Order: sequence, then C-alpha cells, then structure tokens
Amino acid sequence: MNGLTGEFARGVVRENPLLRLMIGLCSALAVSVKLESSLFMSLAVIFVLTMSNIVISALRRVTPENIRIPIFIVVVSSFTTIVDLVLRAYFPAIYSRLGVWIPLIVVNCIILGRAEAYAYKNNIIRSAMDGLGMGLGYTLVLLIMGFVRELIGTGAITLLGATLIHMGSRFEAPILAISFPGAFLAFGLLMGLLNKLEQRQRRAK
Amino acid sequence: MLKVTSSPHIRAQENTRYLMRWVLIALAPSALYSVYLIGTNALSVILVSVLSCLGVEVIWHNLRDGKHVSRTWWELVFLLAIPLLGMVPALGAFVQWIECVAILVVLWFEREHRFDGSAAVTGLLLAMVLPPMIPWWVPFFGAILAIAIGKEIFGGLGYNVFNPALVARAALLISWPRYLTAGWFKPVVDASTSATPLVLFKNRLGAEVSAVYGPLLFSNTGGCIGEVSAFLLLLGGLVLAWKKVIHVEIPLAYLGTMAVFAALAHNDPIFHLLAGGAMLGAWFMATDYVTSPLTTKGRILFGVGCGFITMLLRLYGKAPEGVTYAILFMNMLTPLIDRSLRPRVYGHIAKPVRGGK
Amino acid sequence: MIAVKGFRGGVHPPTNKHLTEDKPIRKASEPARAIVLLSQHTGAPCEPLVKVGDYVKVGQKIGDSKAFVSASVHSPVSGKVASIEPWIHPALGKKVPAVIIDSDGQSTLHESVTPKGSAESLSQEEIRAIIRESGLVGLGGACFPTAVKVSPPKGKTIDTFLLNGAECEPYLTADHRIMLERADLVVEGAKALMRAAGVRKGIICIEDNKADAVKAVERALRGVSGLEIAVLPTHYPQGAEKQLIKAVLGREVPPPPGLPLDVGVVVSNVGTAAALATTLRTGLPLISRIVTVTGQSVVEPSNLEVKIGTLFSSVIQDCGGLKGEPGKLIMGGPMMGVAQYTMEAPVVKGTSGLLVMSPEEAREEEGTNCIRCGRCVEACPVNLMPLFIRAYTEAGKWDMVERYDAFDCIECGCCAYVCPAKIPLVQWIRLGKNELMSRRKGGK
Ligand code: SF4
Ligand code: SF4
Repeated sequence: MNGLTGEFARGVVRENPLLRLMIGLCSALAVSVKLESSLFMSLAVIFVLTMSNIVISALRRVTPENIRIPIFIVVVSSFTTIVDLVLRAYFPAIYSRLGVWIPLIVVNCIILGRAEAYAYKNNIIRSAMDGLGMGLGYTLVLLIMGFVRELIGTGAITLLGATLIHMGSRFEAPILAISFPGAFLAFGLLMGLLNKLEQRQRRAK
Repeated sequence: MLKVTSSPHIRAQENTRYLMRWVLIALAPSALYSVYLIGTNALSVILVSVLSCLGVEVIWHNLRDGKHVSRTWWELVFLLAIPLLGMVPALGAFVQWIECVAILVVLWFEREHRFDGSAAVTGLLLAMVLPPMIPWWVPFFGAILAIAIGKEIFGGLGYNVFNPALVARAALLISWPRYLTAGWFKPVVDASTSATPLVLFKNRLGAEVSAVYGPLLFSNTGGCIGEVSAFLLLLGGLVLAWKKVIHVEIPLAYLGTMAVFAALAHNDPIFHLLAGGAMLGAWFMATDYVTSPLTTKGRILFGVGCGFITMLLRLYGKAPEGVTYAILFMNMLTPLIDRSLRPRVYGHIAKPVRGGK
Repeated sequence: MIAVKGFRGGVHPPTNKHLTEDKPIRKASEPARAIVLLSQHTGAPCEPLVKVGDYVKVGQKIGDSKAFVSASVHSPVSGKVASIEPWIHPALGKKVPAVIIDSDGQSTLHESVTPKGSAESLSQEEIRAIIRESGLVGLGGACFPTAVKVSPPKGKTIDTFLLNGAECEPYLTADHRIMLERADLVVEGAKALMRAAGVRKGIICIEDNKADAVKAVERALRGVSGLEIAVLPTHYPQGAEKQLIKAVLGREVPPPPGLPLDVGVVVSNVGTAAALATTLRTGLPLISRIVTVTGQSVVEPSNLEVKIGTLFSSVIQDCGGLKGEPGKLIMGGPMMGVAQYTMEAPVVKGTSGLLVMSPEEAREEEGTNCIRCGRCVEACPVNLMPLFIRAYTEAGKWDMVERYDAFDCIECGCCAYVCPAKIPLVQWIRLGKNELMSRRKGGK
C-alpha cells in the first residue's frame, strides 16, 4: 500500500496542482478572497476530481482514443452539475458568492488534466487516490490563501455567518489583500515560500 | 606582492553610492521646502519612510546572507512591536517618533552594513508621493512593501522590474484609498478646497486652475509632499542632468509628449506639466536606472510612452492622476524595449535581427 | 588638414601624461643578460637558430619561422647563448621558450647590419623583404607582423594608409616623444610602409593633446607629398585600429575576422614607422624599442630606449627604482595593459610602457549589483551591451553570450572603467569569449 500513499501525498506538496503544476489558477485566485468560499470551492473540487477520476479510470478500456476528451467532459460535467444543484439547494448564500466558478469546474484544468494525464492510464484505486491527493493539495493552498487574505483584507474571519476571529476595530484593513493584485501577491509569496523551504531541505540533506 | 587583476586598471570615480547621494541631494530642496511649508507632518512622513526603508534593507540583507541572524530577528520583532504602543492612549501621538528612534538604534547596531544608498532614495521618493496628512503607519508599511516586495524579493538592487517607490504607492493606494486620496496639503485655509489642482481639473473646474502657474511653481497648491513646488523639482532634475546622474532623454521625452498631447487635446500644456506628479515622475521616478531602458532610443521610447499614458489617464481615466500607473506600465515594457532596441554593433551592416528570446 | 568624423562611445580618463611627456628619450643601460622570447608577436612562434654556447652578435637573427604570419627575432647584444629555456611571457602570463644570451659588453655588430637605402631608392619587394628580415611587428601593443600587414592578399586594394600616433592610453608617452624627437624617421618610415603596401595616400593621426608633436611632424612633412596630418580630439580608445578608421575615415571594419584591409585601410603605429626607418638607415633589425616607464611609484619616470630582452626589474632600476612597495606592475597602459605578477619578465616587442601603481592606486573598490545604469552601453565604442554579456556569462547561457556579440569586443576597458557598480566587465567578457572558443573547438 506504500505506493498508494505515495500517489496521495504527491499531490499535496511535490506536485501540488496550484503551486507546482500551476494549473487551475483562475478560480483559485478568484475564490480565495474568503475562507468560506475557499472551503466550499475546495470541497466541490475534491468531489468532482475524485469522482470523475474514478469513473474515467473505470471506463478507460472502453473509451475510444480519439473521442476521449468529449467523454471526459461529459463525465466531469455530470459531477459538476451534481455539486451545482446541491449547493444551490442547501447553501444558496454560498452558491451565489461562488457564482460562475462552480459551473466552470467543468473546464478546470486540474480535473481535465488529471483525467488525461493520470486517470486514463491508471487503475481505479490509484486514480481515486490521485484525485484525493490533488484535491487536498488544492484545498490546502486555497485555505491558506483564503484565511490570510480574508483576515488581512477585512480584519475578520467569518464562516457560515459566525465570526471566528476579529482583529478589533482599530485595525484598518488594507483592501489590497482582498483585491486581485493581492491574490497574485499572496499566491506568488506562497510559491516562493514553498521553493525556499524545499531549497533549504535539499541543502540540509 | 604585486596585485594581478584584469584590465582596466583604473576606474572612474563615480560609484553607486555617489549616484544615489546626488539623487538625494537633488530631492533635498523640495523635501525641505515641504517640511518648511507643511511642518511636522511632512517631516514625520519623510523620516518614517526613509528610516523604515533602511531598516528593512538591513534586516533583509542580514537574514538573506545569514549574518547576525539571531540579533536580526530580535531587531525585526522589536521594530514590528513598536506600532503596538499606539494602543496606549498616552503614547498614541508619539509612536512615529519612537519608531524612528528605534530604527536609528537598530541602524547603529548594524553600522558596519554597507548601504548602497538606494533604499534611502526609495524611501524619500515614497514619502514624496504620499499626502502629508496621513497616519504614520502608512509610510511605514509602504516602506516595507517598497523594499521587501518591490525590490528585495526580485533579488535586490538591480533586479526589480518596477520602481519600488511606485509599487509601494500603488499598493497603498489600493489598500487604504481614503488616506491616499485625501489629506492633501492645503496652503490656503479654505474649507471648500480640499482638492488638488488635478482633482479640480477633473471636475471640470477649468476656470479655477488656469490662474495657478505661480502657486504650482512655487508652492501653495494642494497635493503630495513632493508636489509643493514644481520649480524646486525641476531644479533638482536639472542638477541631476548637469551632474550626468540621470539621462535627460527620459524627462524630455516624457514632458514633451505630455505637452504635445495636452495641446492636441486643447488643454493647457503648461498646467499639465506643472500639476501633480509630472515633474517628480519625469525627473526622479522614470529615470530610475534599474527600471528604465539602457539605450538612448529605448529611453526616448520609454519617455514618450510614459507621457502618453499619463495624459491618457489624466484626460480619459477615472482618477485625476496617471503618473504612477504610466511609469509602472512602462517599467513592465522595459525588458522588451531593451531586447528589441539594441544598438547597431560596430561593423555590422544591419541591425541584428537576432535579439533575445 | 583632415576633417575628423569621430567615433561613438569611449571615455575620457585622466591622461596623466605629464609625468613623462617632457622627458626626452634616453638610452637605457645595456643589459648584462638578454632574454629573447621566441614568441613576441601574433602568429607562429619562432624556432631557435642558435645552440647553447654559440657566440652571437648584435642584430644576428636567432629565431625564425617558415610560417607566413610570423616575425623573426634577433640578438640585442653580443655574447654567448647561455641557455634556451622557457621564460615568463609578460603578455601571456605563462612561460614560452626563450634564448638567453650573456652579453660580453662589446656590442659587436653582426655582418648583416649594413645600411639598406631609403624609401625612394628601394622597390616594393625589397622593402617587404627588409621588413620581414628585421622582424618588425606593430609596436602599438598588438604585435601583428608588419610584413603580413603590408602584403595584402590578391584582390584586395588598399587606398589609405593610417599612421597611428593617437596614443590614447593614459600615461604612455613613447609615441609622443618619438614623433617629437624623431619626426623625420617617422615620415621616412611612413613613406617606406606606404611604398611596401602600394598605397598613395597616407594620414598621420595625432590626438590634440600632443600639439608639439603635431608641429614637429608638420615640419618634417614639408615638401613631402601624399602624407597629411589629422588632428583628433583626445578620446579613448581612439588608438584602437577600428575606432581610428571610423574616426578618421568614417568607415567601419566588418566584425571579426574582418580586418582593416577589408575596407581598404592599413594602420600602423608611428613607433613601427620610426623603427623601419632606423632599419633602412642603419641596417639594425628590431632589437630595441621606446618604453614609457611611469607611475606614482617610480622615482624618475622616463621614456627609455630599451633593448628587447631586458628584464623589467632592470628597466625600473634604470629609472631610479621604486618609492616603497609597488601595488601593481602593468605592462602597457592602465586601460588595456597586463598586470604582472613578477618583475622578472623581459621587455618584448610589444612593451609600450611599464606602469607601476602604488598599493593605494591598486586597491579595488567593493562594488554593488549592476544597477542597469546603461553607462557601459554608452561607453562601449563597439556598441555592445556589456552588462548582458556579463550576466549571460555568469549564468552560463553561452548562446546568448554569442548573440550579444561578445566576439566583437575589443577589450578596450571603457565599460569597466565607467561602471559605477565596479563590475569587472572586461574580465567577464573575456571569460565568455574563452568559453565560447573552447566550445567551438570542442563541439562543432
Ligand atoms: S555600467 Fe555597470 S552598473 Fe551600469 S549597466 Fe553597465 S554593468 Fe550595470
Ligand atoms: S564591451 Fe568590450 S569593446 Fe565594449 S567597452 Fe567593454 S571592453 Fe570595450
């Protein structure tokens, strides 16, 4: 089973989809403005990614080579529609905030990328692990960015209506953190930090 | 022992510090004059900005080079903790001075650090593009942004793509717009005019601005710390040009383009040259070596681009001023300009078509 | 007088010529032992023509090569060949074979040393043969064999001959003194060189900081047709061949391996012309040259006529020795000269000067990162972008080093001179060129 944990762990750091493969950035930069939207977006991505990886892997022997991409899209969009409807039914507030990004999961490069690069060539269990790992890597980055950006940019963290942290009324939040430049800045810094840490680790070895 | 080095064996006197020193000298009259006109508020913004930039540079370099690491961490914590004193009611009004003294103490501890002077220039330029009536911590964070994000993270002196002072200003403008678009220096105590000439101009109060050449040149207009006197800025710019510290192509192309654009758009060219950050931008910001092109042709193109975008933004943009974004935009194009406008090498027939990748 | 066009770039370092410009040329004392390197020029090294123990006379040929691009060497003294062994070469910094002769102090002339005639009385072929036999090379420092220079390959025509008296290197005054004291030799030599190369039109190029030399040459030119003077504004590196051609004629030599020949020009140094005239008159081959010994650390800076093969230490002794510890010993001028690690290297044909710097002057200032000020780009007379060549060399991106035309660099030093960040740009560019060279040889 060691191989499987490897499949799983790989997506978290070494091949982190956002910081390393640098795919699926547009939605990540947009939704990381708030911890809450980051969280729900991540859950949606984990669900769609894992499920579609499983299904695509299961169908890989019967999928004709030259029409595989349309088939992937059909699979992915089915799961995306499920997420879309569930969110709309049970979390209308969050759904309205995430807006177009949920339907856009269909064309998210992470999902299509993993389908093409991994699930189409590997067995179901491995593909599921890959989906989970990649999803977790995505989640980790999104949560960090969402937390930092919301905390700095608004001075508070609210989750499902409850205020978890409040910096006090004297804190004058820089809007930079929740603006688009702030998203790029936070992402760039995170990427630099990861490289720095890895460099240090490599040197220590 | 005979020393063996590669030729040449003599070097010109000018070094990096010398150049930076002259930029500071050229900016000094404007800075001092605004302190004289505006008072302690301007002084505090300038001091906080310059000292913080120096402090950030020392700390960053020490941590980067692994010098005095533990001592430096303590210094960092020390300097970042002082703003918290602002919570104490009795100290609230003095925190900026305490911070300044604290930074001085840190700099004294780090006195063997070799400053190249660029951080001081960045600090002073940053102060010049901030309104004087802002909380002291705005320039403080601005300095951190300028040096850490604007410069050091790219690799330090010479590697940054954007002018650090303008990066900081843009970031501050996004972060705390209400401080950055108010708090102007108001020479005439007149509650009804709390806007800069450019804001007035934007609001189509043209009649009011046509009579302001004198004030624009010699003081008495609303604006940032560095905008009190276009005349002193021009003087400083000319000193730099005379000492061959800056390349005059940039300001000439910049201001020339602005004037032509304004005239074509039936605006008053002289007003546009004197108002707002045009002088400061053209002579001191756009001429920053690191972020401007290397060849004469490139610099002219750069200046023209800056002037053109500035006027576009002033006349058709949402905000009254466009210097910051014009220069930042052209900074971005600088590597491209450097690669495409290479000088024709001696003896080569045509311009090499084999530029960079 | 010729209208001068000038060239782009370049610098104006302090010339410091006052140390020696008023000092008449004087003969250095005879060396007790002469070390004649067998490779003093661009091209194939010489084979020794003598054996250890042989007795040689002044002016006797002791080394030659069959190769076309080469120049023979002659004994500067009379005496016994003590040994033939490798000795340090001041320009290359490594050891090359040398003939070492112990002087008997007699200065007995070799039988071949007889007056040859004058520029008018000799034919083109005769002059070329004399040049070849006398081992004459460009005395400006490049040491390119003159015989090769005046024998253009078939199909190339030369229309202009430039006599280079610019002497743009700071400190050096050897050419200045030659033009001032031996103007007639310079003119005679120029005529001979023109005849050898088959050129009708010659221009003597002198920088305007040598007004007295201009006067002297003007006087010597009276009644001479085909030769003119061009007075150039002082501007480093005007004495570099390519820049001189651009400044005087407005022509640009094609990039390496292009030669001045390709634009119909031959350039020669005034010292070379004077040496040729001496050979014609006396028959003596190239066995001595004028060397400017200068610098703050030299007790008595002078212009010396030194026998080739004299050790630097003895030349400096001739100038009263040194004040205190030397910081740097440079063969040539401060801009392009070569720093020496020992005083025991011999004077070669290309030794235009010996500059001794005090330890203070030799101290290197600590620099900063490149601040992209563009000064190096502005100063480069070849219009290169030295900062990029350095950056790509440092990064090991060799294709980019080549794309930024590193091979066109003439190593004049202007870029490093002006750099406020004190980056040793020339050193980097040389490194880049060497690496590219070895890659070319190895790979493609
Ligand atoms: S002169 Fe020096 S600092 Fe200026 S651009 Fe060239 S290498 Fe950089
Ligand atoms: S790059 Fe070469 S040719 Fe250009 S200034 Fe430097 S040394 Fe001279």
